[in-house]
Amino acid sequence: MARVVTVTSGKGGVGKTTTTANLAVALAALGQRVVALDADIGLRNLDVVMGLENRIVFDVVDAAEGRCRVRQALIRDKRLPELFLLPASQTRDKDALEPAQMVALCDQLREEFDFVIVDSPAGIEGGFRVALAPADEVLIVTTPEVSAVRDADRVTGLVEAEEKEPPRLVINRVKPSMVKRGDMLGPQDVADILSLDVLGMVPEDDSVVVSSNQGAPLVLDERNRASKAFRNMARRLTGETVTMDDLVDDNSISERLRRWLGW
Amino acid sequence: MSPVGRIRGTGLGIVVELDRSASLSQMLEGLAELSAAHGAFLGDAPLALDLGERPLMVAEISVLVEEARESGLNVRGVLAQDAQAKAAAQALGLLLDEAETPVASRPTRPPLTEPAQERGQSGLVTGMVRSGFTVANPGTVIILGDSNPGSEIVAGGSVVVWGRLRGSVLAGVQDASAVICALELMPSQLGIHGHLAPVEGRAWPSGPVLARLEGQGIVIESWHASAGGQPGSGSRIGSAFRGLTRGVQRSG
Repeated sequence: MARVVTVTSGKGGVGKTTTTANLAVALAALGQRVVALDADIGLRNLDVVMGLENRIVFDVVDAAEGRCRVRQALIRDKRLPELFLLPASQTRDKDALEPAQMVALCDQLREEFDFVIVDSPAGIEGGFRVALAPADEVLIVTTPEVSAVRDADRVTGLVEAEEKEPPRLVINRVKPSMVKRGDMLGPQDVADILSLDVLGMVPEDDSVVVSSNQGAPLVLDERNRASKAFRNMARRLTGETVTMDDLVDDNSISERLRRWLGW
Repeated sequence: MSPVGRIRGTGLGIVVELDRSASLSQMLEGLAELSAAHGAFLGDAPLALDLGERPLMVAEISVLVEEARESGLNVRGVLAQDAQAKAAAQALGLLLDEAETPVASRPTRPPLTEPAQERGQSGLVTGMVRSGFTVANPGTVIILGDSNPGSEIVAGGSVVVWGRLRGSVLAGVQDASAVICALELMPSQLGIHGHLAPVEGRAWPSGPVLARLEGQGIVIESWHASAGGQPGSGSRIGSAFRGLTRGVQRSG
């Protein structure tokens, strides 16, 4: 039976799609059967990041509305045979689906897969609620920036109000040198402010842009630190205990920054 | 001269004025005489004793009213001009206001009533109050957790945050003696009973604090500052609490 993990953030542009794609690929590389589900209807990106945009025939709305069977909408990944993409519709918008439809869709996928990773749209309205509905677990992606953290807090409140399990944090785009200088919130500060457990922290890495453009998720390249962070997160999702990489040695400098920013 | 002065009728019912120069025992005699002489006429009519400007204490007022009642007078309560007498009468639940419209007689209450019971239930929140969420309660609000920036707390009474208070807090909507307590106070907005504290660019004291209204302004008292107080004076926050219980406005 699959575990449905919804990746959301509130704020746009913090790395939900990158996280969804890389976690899905990393889990598949560990031998799990995975569906990466794009719930960002109207602004689909997951297909591009995974390099599968040319293979889309049916999408999640087609499947939900019964124009095709779910199996027909699934696209097998180019590189990993146990990884599938269920793409979003690009011609409809976020109001196209109801939460109940998404729950029904995921229930169909639960039988055959180990994980369904759902890429949520930004925001806190209908599209977010549709992505949240089927979740067994929620991951909140944030960057160590005040505005992103504020939005993450808002979204966390909404997730808690839905009586889901407490979400876990993915702290993305951490720049250790800036944290040391006190110009950026440290990951520990972010976790402390949001009072949430951390699934993982991902350092800022130019390779992410390159990999997105090429449609080859970063995690396939084992050499860089961001890739390692995603692979560790995937292992933690399977229940394995993995020691957290200490990206930043000294977090105390950001205490001054926190006070100044009013946190 | 009779210790009982004028008897007048007001919206409160019958008000019996007591002579200012009379001693307590003389007043008691006078009331007993009143009851004997006019008891039939007065019957069960509710009476108020006007203490005028006499500074009477709790025990004295208590005895006065008790004896008057035992002699058959239906004493609802007292009117008082003197501040001490007023406070004493209020503590006994006997203070009446001449401007008040008449209501059924109220029972006396012990001095330290639980304020929350008068203004509605206390609201207890366990966990974080996150951005975009509001906690509103006509009574006291207690939060075991933080309140984050972008959240709101609105309370008729006091607000106690066992955590970091970082959002907006408006306390004492109905009670000027309300306080705001937090283990760490860094609010985006802070107000008590309609008075707002300046927050922009302000360096808040670290550690546990208590904020209260003093006159027209909000005073922030730090728990740690009490460590440097005068010996024997007790902590400053402790004295703020003593001031609070005495100052609570109670109706009736």
